[in-house]
Amino acid sequence: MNGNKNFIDFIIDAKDSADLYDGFVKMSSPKTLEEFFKLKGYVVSSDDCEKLIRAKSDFGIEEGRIPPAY
Amino acid sequence: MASTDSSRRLSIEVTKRCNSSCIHCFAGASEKGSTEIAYEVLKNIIIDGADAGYRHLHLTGGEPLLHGDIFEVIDKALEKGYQTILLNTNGMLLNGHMCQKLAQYPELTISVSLEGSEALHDRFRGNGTYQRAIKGLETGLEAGLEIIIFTIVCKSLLPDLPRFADQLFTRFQGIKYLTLIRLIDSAPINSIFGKELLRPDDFLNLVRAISLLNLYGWPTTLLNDPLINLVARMLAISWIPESKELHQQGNLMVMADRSLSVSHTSDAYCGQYGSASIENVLSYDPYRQAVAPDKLICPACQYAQICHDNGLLRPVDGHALGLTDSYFCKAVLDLMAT
Repeated sequence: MNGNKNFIDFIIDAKDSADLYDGFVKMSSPKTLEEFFKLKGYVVSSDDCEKLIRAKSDFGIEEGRIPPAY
Repeated sequence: MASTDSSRRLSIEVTKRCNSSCIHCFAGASEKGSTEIAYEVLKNIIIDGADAGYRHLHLTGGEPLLHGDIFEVIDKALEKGYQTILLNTNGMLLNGHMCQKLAQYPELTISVSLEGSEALHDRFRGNGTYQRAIKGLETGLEAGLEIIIFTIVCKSLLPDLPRFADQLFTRFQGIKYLTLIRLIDSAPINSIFGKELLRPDDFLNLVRAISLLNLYGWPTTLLNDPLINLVARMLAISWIPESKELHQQGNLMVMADRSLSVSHTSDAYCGQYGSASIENVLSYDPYRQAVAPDKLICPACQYAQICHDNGLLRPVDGHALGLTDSYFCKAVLDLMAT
């Protein structure tokens, strides 16, 4: 039972699982991402899903660029 | 003639003295260390560096805050036009008085070393050091210092890395970002910590973790390891900030014994400071060879072009891991190809 896992738990699991990670990468909308998390047994809020999808865009995934160093 | 590369950094190992004796220290510093650069010499290095066009200074050690003239060094650097100064510390000397003085310099960024949990930190750095570092971190943030965290990534940390980062950014909200450093296979580490070195599959796990932490809003990077950008690109993700080669043209380090090199971990000897100007050292053959793209190993590798395109100019040694061909980078890329 992993229904109480949050996004940090997801990172812990996904770093060791290409399938889980790739599944996350493919999600392109907050709604499908939230459903993805629910299906996999993680509780991630709608706000966080929106934030994650927005962050994907902000980091330039579509352009394939490398973000500048901090 | 001064270089126009505005990003290059002059590093000075101001002292080998340290108030800790970390068993993974790649600088070879310790409580018994006595080699130190006197202020008069430091002043000349700073002036010489400024004349050579450096605008970014890196003060390291040892524990640089143990140097009795460290504030004079900072003052001189700013007077000579350096725009940013990065100072590495273990955080244990960041008391109220020290932090108030450091906070007077907006150009200063302080890196505080934390190695994960208290148990792991103290295992690497000595009993009681975690609590002292945390106290220093809290005091520094309260004083308004710009602080980044340096953390060595090893086998023991990797499973807990996401939680460590989450707790770090949640508890210490003023931290600017988390800089991870892959544990390297120097001889003393190999004998003590061989089992702690990341293997190629661990590296892929690290890439995924860092990318997700960045997406979540916990800014995390891997120091001087462009292999991570290459892997991220091959995974078609781009949520990891650029990580440049440490041994890149322009970067120079003056060691506490005044020898010149590219970094703590470089075996390139580029002479002694004082025998020539810094500008001249940058054109010496040993220096140019140390920062030049590899011509012996990489050209025969099937990944040479993609590595070059992504800023990885030299093979990453994996000898201590017992890899078949001893190159960590190739083993990682082979793993991705399977």
